[in-house]
Amino acid sequence: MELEFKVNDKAYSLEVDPESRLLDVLREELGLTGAKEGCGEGECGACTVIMDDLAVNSCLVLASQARGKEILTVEGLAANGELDRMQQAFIDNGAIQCGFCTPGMLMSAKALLLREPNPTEEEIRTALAGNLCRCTGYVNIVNAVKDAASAEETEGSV
Amino acid sequence: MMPEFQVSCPQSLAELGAEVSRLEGEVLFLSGGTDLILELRSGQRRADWLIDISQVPELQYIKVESRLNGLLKIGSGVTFTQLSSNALVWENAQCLAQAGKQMGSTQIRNRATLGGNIASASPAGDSLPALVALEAEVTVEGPGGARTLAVAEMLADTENALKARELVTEIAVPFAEPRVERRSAFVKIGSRTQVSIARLSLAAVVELENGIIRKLRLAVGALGKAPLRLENLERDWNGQPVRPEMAAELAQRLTETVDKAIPGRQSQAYKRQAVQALAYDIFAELFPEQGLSQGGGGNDRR
Repeated sequence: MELEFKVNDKAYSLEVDPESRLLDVLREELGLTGAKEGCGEGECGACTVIMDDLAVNSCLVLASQARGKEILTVEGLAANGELDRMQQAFIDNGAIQCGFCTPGMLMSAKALLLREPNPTEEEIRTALAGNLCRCTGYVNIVNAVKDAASAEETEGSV
Repeated sequence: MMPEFQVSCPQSLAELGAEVSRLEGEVLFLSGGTDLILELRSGQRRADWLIDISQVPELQYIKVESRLNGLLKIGSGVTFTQLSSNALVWENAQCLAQAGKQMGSTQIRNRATLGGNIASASPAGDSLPALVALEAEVTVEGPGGARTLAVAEMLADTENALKARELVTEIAVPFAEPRVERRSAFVKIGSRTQVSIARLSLAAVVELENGIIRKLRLAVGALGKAPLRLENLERDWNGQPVRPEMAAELAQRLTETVDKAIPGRQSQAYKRQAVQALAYDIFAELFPEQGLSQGGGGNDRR
């Protein structure tokens, strides 16, 4: 079946299998392998992408359900070759170890700042509750999101 | 790879109706997909056709209607994120907003819908005790026309359950009579504070007139196939003023309810204790002026 949607600001028209999930199309048709398949059940959040400004598990969305939608993946964060401030904040805070959860973490965090530019720690933890990390623990990740939020705020107020 | 099926993508209610009559074979409705996609992949369920209703705008609304004492009407396609961030829901059905806020993760809440939660009818479904305590009604449309029934009836009785090609379209929560103060709350306990399936949940709706209880509805989730109402206690407390000792009585009655519902079950020992914490949580939340502390959880801690 035909799927028309936008990924990282680029319009696509693809022929997809009805059984394909958004995650399958991103990874296998478009070669965007940033989103990972961890559990495949919506528990781990490694496949998180942003669909129409909301974080979703791309393993729980059928590709056809993304028709007409705008998808943002981790590849879209650094579209012009420069890291997004959320990515830079993850590096600066040592919020990455093996990296498997990182694209999903980044997209959940990004979606939070789209909705709430100045989140509390509780809001950050709630936004990331559906993303599991088995390496770093969550303290550095939460710190990174706080950093990115305050950088955004400083920039906004200048 | 999933077993094969076709997907139909109506963009309006009219198109949806046409697809329901046109398509042949086993037809299932796909909404947020957070349960159904997994069930299809694991082979637990199969379909020839999925009708994706996630982009039907007529199923996505939250509004107040002035009929009777007033009604809160919620389209079945409303997501848990929309439900738990909507002022009309917080104002008129707080327990439902609280249940919505605690269901799953942000990613799940952004997709999962209230209609889907009812259609799935999981014993641990978070919205279900809240809907039962609110005496909510559900409208179901199918090839045989539309029917409206209490959520409790639909869940309790296999005869009333959803039939093939029937779709939940609307949920209606009736308001209290004028001049009656209604309070409600939802609490749950799971293996962690967030993103967990309820081991136990509890919803309460109480209506007060000059400090006297004139109507009380309590529903326990994850204790049976459908939420369990505490009808005896509801009757006993009717007409009584609220007293702090009622928290302990509630804990006691809930323990008895657990003992009766799951005698000898492995989880009984845990649940008969855990339910007491939920009793104190919900009592403190419903009646803050009684000055009791919560049972260790409650919505403030989440």
